[in-house]
Amino acid sequence: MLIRGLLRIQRKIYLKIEVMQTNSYVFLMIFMGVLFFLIAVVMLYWCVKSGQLKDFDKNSRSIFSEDEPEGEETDFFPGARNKLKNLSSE
Amino acid sequence: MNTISPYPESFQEKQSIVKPYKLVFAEIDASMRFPVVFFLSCALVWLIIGTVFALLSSFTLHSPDLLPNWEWLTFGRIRSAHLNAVSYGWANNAVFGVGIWVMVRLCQIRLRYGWVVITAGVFWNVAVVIGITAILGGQITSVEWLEMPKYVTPILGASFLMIGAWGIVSFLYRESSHVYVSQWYLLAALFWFPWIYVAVQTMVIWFPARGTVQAITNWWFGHNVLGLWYTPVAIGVVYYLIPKVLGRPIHSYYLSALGFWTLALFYNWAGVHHLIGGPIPVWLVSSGIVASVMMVIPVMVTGINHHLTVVGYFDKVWHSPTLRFVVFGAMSYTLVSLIGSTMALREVNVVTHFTHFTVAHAHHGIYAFFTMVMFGSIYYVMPRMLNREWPSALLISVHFWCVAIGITIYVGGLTIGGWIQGLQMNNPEILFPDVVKHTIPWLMSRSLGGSLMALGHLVFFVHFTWMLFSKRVKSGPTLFRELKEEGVSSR
Repeated sequence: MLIRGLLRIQRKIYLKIEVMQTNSYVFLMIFMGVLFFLIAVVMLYWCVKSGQLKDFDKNSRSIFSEDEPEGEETDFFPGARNKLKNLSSE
Repeated sequence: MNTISPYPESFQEKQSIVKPYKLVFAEIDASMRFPVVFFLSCALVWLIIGTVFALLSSFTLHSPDLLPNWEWLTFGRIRSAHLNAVSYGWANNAVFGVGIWVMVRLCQIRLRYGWVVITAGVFWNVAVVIGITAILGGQITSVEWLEMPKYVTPILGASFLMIGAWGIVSFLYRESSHVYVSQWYLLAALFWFPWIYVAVQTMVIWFPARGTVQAITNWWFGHNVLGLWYTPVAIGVVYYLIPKVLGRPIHSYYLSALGFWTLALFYNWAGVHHLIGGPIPVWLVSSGIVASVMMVIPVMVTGINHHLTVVGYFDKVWHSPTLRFVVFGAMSYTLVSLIGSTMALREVNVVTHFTHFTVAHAHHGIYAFFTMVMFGSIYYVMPRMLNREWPSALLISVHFWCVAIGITIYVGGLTIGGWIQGLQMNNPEILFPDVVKHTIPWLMSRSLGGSLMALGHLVFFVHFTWMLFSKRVKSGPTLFRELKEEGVSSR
């Protein structure tokens, strides 16, 4: 039922668009394009203003923390880590 | 606790006043256990289904009489079923699982109301099932990448918006002060995909634009779904996992920011290079070619950055299941993108267009790059979700070697075969049926590579299921923290 209703609405709008010709799409596309571009500009502006592009050295380390510190590997084949640990403790 | 915090001073002050307790990664992981495991399990099931369709269509191409003469097993349908199963089934579910994990982890918050994400995920997967059944039943739209009938797409769109909204909501409530480069990539992908999907559905399926505008929109989408959806997610994951596993920051954080913004600037334009030689305005094609060549900048920037982070640590890469796959994927990214930029040139395209070269290129990108990165991240994510180790190191090795050798045979064979095919098709003295016959050995090499990949997938699936249902914790998880010590149980 819902699908059939949707399809009927679509057919109606489609007929209207047929009348309006393809030109109407041009304005829609320009509008969408401008909106897209503006969002990108706002993002870049915010990015610069909030200091995201400053102090790269410090920020590149933001993925490490006390429980997963820098300088410590975090992935091994299963069982391999214990062997490596034993080697280093010996 | 007296170690130097990597966060800016203002953030430390805020932390000490407002919230003296900082979430540890184990807690963050625990909060999204069910959604992530759900998405990754669905992804694995779709991977197997997609592989079956892939093998059937690959074998059909060189042995047409192999399959019984049923309508739903004809090449046109199973090939489209394969495309939709791996792209909307496997790739998207993997992106949802891994993407949410990276995003929430970098935001340093708990994922709240995970059941909403799971509900949306159920709807997504049901929609994909309906769509693929419809494709096999013959209700196919004949538009590449959008084969699913139009009554399915609103469900897909709505459930995507729900899942994507969760990524954005997590970002808005983030506790971290700095937006890491992976978050940029993920956010941008979450912003781009609904945009291109809605636009293409509107202009091609629901209210079709007239004439060649449809084709332009179709390939603008077809290229962007790879370039602005799968690629940024996978690069974001690479930018997180390489430094995280090696325990050393990315070589140049400046380059990573540059790579992101140049990708955002150039990729969107590149799709029209699929229509070189087509009946569309030449300036449009030329702008697409220029953008495709400009893509060399972000690709080289990203490639150099990843390489310089890893260089000198290849033994560590080799000892990490995650990085084996991820670094394979990152290397493939550089290679496949450079080949792609070359293919966009008119002189090269005149040979490669309408040949198996393009098929090889597509799989190079979506498999050797994207899927390998996703495999690697699943190896990293799952132990942290389930708090148990992968049961078998051998199965991981088998998986890696099967898919790595398989995709190399696949891409290598079809690239050479496709190039020969293109040269022969441009030569008027060679009859077309002969050109087709000459491709058969290369198509067989594809079936060989594909079978190896299928074996790898099967091994991975078995291993994944084994891990999911095994109760026993073997020799302590791969994790690097004890849950209880960190005080999870006390909170």
